[in-house]
Amino acid sequence: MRRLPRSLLHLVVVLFVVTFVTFTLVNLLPGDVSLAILGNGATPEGVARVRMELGLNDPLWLRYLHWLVQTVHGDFGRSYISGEPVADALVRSVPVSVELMALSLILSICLAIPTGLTAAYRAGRPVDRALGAVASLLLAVPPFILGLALMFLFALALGWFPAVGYVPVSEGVLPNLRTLAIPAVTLALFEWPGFMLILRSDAIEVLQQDYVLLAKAKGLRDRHILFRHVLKPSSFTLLTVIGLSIAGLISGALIIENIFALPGVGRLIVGAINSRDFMVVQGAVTVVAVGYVLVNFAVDTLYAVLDPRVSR
Amino acid sequence: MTIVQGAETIDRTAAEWQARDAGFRGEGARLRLGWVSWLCVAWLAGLAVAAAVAGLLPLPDPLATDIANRVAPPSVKFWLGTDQLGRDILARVVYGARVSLSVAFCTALIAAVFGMLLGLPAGYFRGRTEISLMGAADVGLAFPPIILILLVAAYAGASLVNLILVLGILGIPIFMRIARAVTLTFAQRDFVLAARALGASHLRIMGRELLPNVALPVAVVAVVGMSRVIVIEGILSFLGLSVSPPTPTWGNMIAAGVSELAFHPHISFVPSAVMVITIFALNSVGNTLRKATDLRESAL
Repeated sequence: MRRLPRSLLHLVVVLFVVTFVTFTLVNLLPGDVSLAILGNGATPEGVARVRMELGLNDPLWLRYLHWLVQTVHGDFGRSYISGEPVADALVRSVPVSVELMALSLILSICLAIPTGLTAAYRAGRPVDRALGAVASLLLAVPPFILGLALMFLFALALGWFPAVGYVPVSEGVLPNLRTLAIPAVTLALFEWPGFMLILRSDAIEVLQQDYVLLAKAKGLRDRHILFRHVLKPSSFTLLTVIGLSIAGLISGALIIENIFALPGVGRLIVGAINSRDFMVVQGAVTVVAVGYVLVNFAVDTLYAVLDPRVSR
Repeated sequence: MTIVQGAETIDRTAAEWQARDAGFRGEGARLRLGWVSWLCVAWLAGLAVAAAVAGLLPLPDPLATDIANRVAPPSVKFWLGTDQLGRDILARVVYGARVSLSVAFCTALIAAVFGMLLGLPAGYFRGRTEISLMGAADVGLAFPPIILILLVAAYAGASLVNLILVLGILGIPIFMRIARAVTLTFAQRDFVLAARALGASHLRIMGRELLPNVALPVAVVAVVGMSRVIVIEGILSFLGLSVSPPTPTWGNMIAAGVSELAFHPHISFVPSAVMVITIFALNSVGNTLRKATDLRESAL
């Protein structure tokens, strides 16, 4: 933990850079906000007034500091289109994205543990080769294509699940899970190959250990050996890879939400980009970027705690 | 930062798989390609040639609509069927390959060249140069790429050039890390010492002694990197944030077919299949090459 002060400093620097770059990008890219607000009836006086109200005439760094102070206080401004506070839109959409990500993470881990252990135990055999072939095939399928294929199969052809749309948890847990099933499975299958292959290669090494031989000699059943004796020592790399995958999961979720019309942050961002709703873009992008940086930081720190060799 | 290490671990494990499937056996053995790898190479070469000379091929105009033959399933006349406007999907897939392949190639080229130009001095000079260069790369890697891409695609306009620039710049830190890591292992070798003893300048040592050794592993990683770029371009054009229609891209063809998914799934699934096969081929070839050049010793 000696490294903690330094990595905290790094975190602060990265957070400043990330928020500043996001702010600058949203603000400097072409397209005048005041024109967007006033529409076709914009007069030079009107533009000047709106620019003054929004503080667009101040230097960039001053606007950044001003915005940063407001944002830290939870004030993300108001949507130019609906007038709704951006914070409210975020409070509505962030839980949807988080639920989707949590579900798919749990699903992919539940898939990866038995398949990874089986592949390791039967390394080189047909089961192992088949799992490996499926994994390397899935590694080549982009999440949005996987999503469409599953939507076609389970929603359109078989009709087991709704194709698009979202039912909030408040209207019942089961209907809610039904709408999230295909998106969550899509993301889970997207994450699964990485998890499975990592667990497999670690478990193969653990299986060479003497105590596994002893367990076999004692006549313990295969399943008992794999889940009780092999899983725990094999799961260290898996844990870190799971942590690292959360960052990738964030971008995966942003895209999947747009395919299945889930009202999460990804849909909020793409919708706001299309309608040039610059306050919403800024707020949502900041939340995602900061979340991404914090997750990375948490994973790095956790990694150092779990494996003391890293801090040296 | 461990993000890259994690991705590398997954890639490496996957590489072992695909290399084994491709018939490569054992350390130090000669690179032997299995039939899967040959199919992948043939597919990529065929696609690249078809995309390059698309105008000369006996294909219908990819933009020509033919309402009489809309949503036709694959047949002798339309090999891969037609879309809602009766446009020939085979022609559109071939023309769409132009966008995907050129974005992938140019992006990988930019990222690899600049990554090498910045990563090599970092690994060679060490000290302050290394700290500042790699510190900048770390900050770059801490950024959520999809967000940056969405923003630039949406605001700066989604032209081919913008897309290539954004994706290329985002890829630079990754190649910097690789170039630096490989440089570190070579900078200690005797031939570098010999060059220095002969009075070679830093520039000459980096350019003549180190660059050729660093370029190979970097190029290998660039091949796998190309498949990632194809995915990202696909996502962007699927969301309508890449090259604008009517120019066919695989992503916008897939998106256009979504409304017909229930009745005419081939409109989405034909370009999807082409994209998946291409990504698989790039992964497979790249990983086989990587296994052969064995980046492992460079301790990324």
